[in-house]
Amino acid sequence: MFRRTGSLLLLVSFLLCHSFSFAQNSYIDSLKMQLEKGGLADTTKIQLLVKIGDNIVMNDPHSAFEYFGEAYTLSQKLKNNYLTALSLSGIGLVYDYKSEDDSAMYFYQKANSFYAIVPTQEARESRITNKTSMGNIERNRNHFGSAIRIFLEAAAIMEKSTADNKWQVLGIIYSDIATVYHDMKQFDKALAYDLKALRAHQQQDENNLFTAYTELFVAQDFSNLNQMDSALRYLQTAEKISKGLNSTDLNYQLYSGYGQLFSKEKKLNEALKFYQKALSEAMKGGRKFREMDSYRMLGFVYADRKQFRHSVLNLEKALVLVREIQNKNLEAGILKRLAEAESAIGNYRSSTEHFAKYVHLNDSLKEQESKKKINEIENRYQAQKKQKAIDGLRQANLLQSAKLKQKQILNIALIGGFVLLLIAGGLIYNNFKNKHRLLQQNEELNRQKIRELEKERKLVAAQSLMEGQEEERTRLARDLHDGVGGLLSGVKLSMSNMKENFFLSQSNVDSFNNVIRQLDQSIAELRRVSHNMMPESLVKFGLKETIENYCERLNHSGQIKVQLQTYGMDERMEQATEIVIYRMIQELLNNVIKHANAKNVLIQLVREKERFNLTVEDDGKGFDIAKVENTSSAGLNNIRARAAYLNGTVDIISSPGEGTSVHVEGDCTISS
Amino acid sequence: MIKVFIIDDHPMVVEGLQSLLNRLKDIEVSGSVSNAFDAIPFIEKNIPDVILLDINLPEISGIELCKKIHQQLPSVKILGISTFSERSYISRMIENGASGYLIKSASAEEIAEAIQTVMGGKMYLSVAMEHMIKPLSILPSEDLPALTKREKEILQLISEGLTNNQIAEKLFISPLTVDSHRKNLLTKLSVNNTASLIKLAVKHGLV
Repeated sequence: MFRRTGSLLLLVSFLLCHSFSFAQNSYIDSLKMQLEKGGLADTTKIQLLVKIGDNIVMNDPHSAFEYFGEAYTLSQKLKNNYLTALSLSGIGLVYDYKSEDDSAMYFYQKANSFYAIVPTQEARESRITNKTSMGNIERNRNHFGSAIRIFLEAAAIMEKSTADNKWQVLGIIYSDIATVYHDMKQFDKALAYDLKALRAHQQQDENNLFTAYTELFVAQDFSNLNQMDSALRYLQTAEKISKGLNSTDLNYQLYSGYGQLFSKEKKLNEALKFYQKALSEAMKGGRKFREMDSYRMLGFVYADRKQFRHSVLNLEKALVLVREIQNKNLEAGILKRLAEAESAIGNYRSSTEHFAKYVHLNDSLKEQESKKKINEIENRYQAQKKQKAIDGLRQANLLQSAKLKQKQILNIALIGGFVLLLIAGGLIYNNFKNKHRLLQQNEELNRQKIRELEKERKLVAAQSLMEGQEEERTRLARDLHDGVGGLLSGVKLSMSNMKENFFLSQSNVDSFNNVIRQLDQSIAELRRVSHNMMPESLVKFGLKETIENYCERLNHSGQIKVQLQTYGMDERMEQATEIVIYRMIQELLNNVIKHANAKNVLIQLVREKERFNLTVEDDGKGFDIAKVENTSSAGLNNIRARAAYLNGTVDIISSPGEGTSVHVEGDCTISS
Repeated sequence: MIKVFIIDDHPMVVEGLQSLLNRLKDIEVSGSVSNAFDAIPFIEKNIPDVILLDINLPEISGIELCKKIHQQLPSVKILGISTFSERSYISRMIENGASGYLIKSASAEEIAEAIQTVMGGKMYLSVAMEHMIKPLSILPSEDLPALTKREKEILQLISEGLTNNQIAEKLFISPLTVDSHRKNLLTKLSVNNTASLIKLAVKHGLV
């Protein structure tokens, strides 16, 4: 149990100091004095501070911390990376001794990053030392994988090195790796690395302290593997080396190793002898742990030899020392064995007391252990949980963003759809509206067409009616004129002959003449009726001449002074049109003669290409147009109807006492 | 003896005329036909001195036949006969070479006088018909045509510088009517444009 409490390097470096400067305290004092003298360069001062820290850290970590701290502040001011790293590593070492692994690790890592950027041999070696410290912390935390990885990194750096102590350092690192495997109870692997370390040390120097220690480690590995012969052989090799070295510490380790081996082989006398030797070496060196450990092992061996009083004495001494160095695990073990030994010698009271203490301590240790484990598990669980939570959150985030995207897409789609729908709706509505309007327009157009057609139909009907009427009149007029008129003329001629041929009394002559006169009147009346019905000349010679004749006759009748003006009337119009215009003139003149009481009448008929206009104007009594229009006289209606037939308009100007002027205009190209 | 030929489609008239003429001295009826087609060959064979020609014949009218006979036999006197006295017929007959005109209801004396007159190389028309060959009394005698009330109004407004539409608005008539009045004015006063119209109107004191 002498090894594996720390790095071999620490162990050895301590041992070296211890071995080569016999009075450690005096060495430290000399360093302190050097510091107090002053007048040192900053770098020298820092190195001095670190050296003092390194030497006092094992027994006075608190003071060591102050030295390292001062060194750190100064090296920061100098911006010297190597010295900064050295100071940080020292602070890490302080926490390492105080078993504050987290803080130690933190400063070691910081130091490591500073060492890494300094390209000197010195820095590289220091970096490896620092790394081994880190590896040992990982080992203490049972982070074996991580510890081995760090050590291997350190070894890789060192294998490329060309330093003088290359093999020594490599040997130390291999030993560290072996220690990790030892902790992992993989003794064969521990042995393999220890042998590797041994070869490395032997390459450096066959007979130095490191080689000796490593021989001891190999021996222990064989012992653990129950290969006692091999173990004994390596112990003896170590013993040979130790004789030339004269190292109290090595001797102690050697004797402890023998004690352990013989104790395991139940060679209790031998074991007892070597443990006592170890104790004396431990007391020489003034090391409490080794002293305690020696008493403890002696106590165990005495108990095995059933020498319980001796056992109790040694164990009680060990108990006092273990309490001083506050190693609870060892204390528990000592208490248990003490209680057993006391019970064996009948000292039940103290035995019970110690056993109770053992149980209590063991429980608290186990509790601590389990707490530690629980914490570890808890931490791991928490970390896992956090990771899970992070993963969950990330997933949720992804999901949410996906959902959001989906939602956005959906929204866009919805809005797009809505807009499209609106547009479509608008278009449809517009289309519908347009269609509706078009339909309405069409309907209106159709209605108008129907109205026009109806009007046309009516007009055509009226036209045919009028034309038929006029035709009938023409025929009647001719029949009257030619037929009846001719007959009457013949009758008159015959009667005139009779008057000559027969003798008649005077009274008979008078009555005969009366008959002839009546016959003349009949013919005149026939002529008038016939002419009114249809002037022969209108058919044969046209409108202009007919109007002229008509007006001339009217003028000769002496009823009224007639004036006629015609323009553009030399060419004949359609007969139907001529008849219509003639009838209008007839009607208008009839009105004038019947109602106007006028002295003069002006008739004006003008043809301008397709249009004609007719004015009949008198100087008669006139009339109130409003009244006449309201009563809609038959005469005026005839005029309007006939004007309408010719697509024409009627314009009447008249007022009482001012005469009347009727103006008609329309198309003269109406053909039947 | 004066040979008289009668063309009339009324047998009663022909008969009446024949008996009436036969009683007269120095007059003999050489024949009679009832249509234009029969008339020409008859006349060519036996040329009469006077032809009594009815204006209203079927198919070819008396007026046209008159022209034809006059062209072929200019020496033959033609007297138009008709039931009624119509200026159109009378004037056309005379235009086509007729020497006079009678109405069928005329007395025997009138007929004898008419025949004697035309044979004497003169034109015969009864007193009642004389005006029918004179110029029309109804036509404006002055140089300036008569203007209607509307025409006077519109001429006034045109001279005031109003447009057709303005005039139409003022007189409550359609612009088309205003335009026809304006054209009438131009036609009646024999001018080509409104400026000349106004000038003329001013000259004659119409506005």
